[in-house]
Amino acid sequence: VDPEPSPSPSPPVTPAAAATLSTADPERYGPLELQRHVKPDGRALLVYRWVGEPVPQA
Amino acid sequence: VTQLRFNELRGEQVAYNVDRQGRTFLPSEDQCPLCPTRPGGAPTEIPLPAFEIAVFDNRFPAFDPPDGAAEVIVYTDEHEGSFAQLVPQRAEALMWVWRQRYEELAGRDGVAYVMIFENRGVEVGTTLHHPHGQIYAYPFLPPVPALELAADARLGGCAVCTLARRELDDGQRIVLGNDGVLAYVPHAARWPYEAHVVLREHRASLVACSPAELRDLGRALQALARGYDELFGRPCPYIMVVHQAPTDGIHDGHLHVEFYPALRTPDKLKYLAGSEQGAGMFIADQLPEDAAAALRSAIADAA
Repeated sequence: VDPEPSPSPSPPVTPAAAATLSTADPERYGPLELQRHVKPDGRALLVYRWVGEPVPQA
Repeated sequence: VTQLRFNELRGEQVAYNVDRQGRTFLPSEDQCPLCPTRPGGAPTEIPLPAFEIAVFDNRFPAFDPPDGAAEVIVYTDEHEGSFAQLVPQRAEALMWVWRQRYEELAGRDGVAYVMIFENRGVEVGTTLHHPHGQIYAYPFLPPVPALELAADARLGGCAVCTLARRELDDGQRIVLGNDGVLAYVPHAARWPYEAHVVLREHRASLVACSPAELRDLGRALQALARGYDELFGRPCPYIMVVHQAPTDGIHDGHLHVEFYPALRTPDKLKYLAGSEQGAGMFIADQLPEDAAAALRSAIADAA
């Protein structure tokens, strides 16, 4: 049920648009941003990040 | 390409995808496809040097668009760790990511049910150690959510609301709670230490939850996952499944998350053997009340 690396990965195309999702505590964390990429083989890659103050790493 | 066949004797669909046989199996960390692509390092599924949470289409999907979808959710760019060990803000962010994926996939034609889940540990079939979960968007209503709808009909309303109320009234099997959610070992749990995390209010899906409820859900799920590790004194293999309303716009549901831990003791697995597989009947070695007491204690110790 798990994925494998793409056979010939390269950087994804520049995201065409970034969407902002609501957050529970915008003053504390900033909005959660979604960037949509397309991988070279056509598959979608979505990258989410807190804008402003990033969430600390686990 | 996935081929669906209907198993007449069981009355259920079976999916076949022969391409999945060759997928990556327990690679070393330097070959992990879920790590970020480090400068000069091996390319991975995520061609970025760092990220917080990433979702991508599974390279070996059980379901292909437009007839469903299969996605991978990577919780962190750190190879080591687990869902339980994420900082609380990351777990909260993950609830929002789950919500966004449910809403988007639910809006697609050809999707009847969206299931978010995590297989944690080789004992339950994970093939990559990097902390991650998955999403399957089914082009039909699978058997388990269909059974939940049947339970609604049998109980004359939302079954989860009824069962949660019964658990609160009884109290013996409650393992944790906060303002938004409640967790308990069900009255008739099938797995040893099975637990359900249920929204206190009737919420059909993550989309219907308030921000506070999403935060409470993330916290409760992590507390429970930490409790399992504490209970067994080792990383506990489990299957975690988010149950939500079907996406056909017709049926209702009640958001809850079910955990099926694979252990009955630290060194003994619960196998699905003759009775479970052949007759469809679980046989358990201990009462849910005793499991709940042990789990409550472990959650407190892990806090």
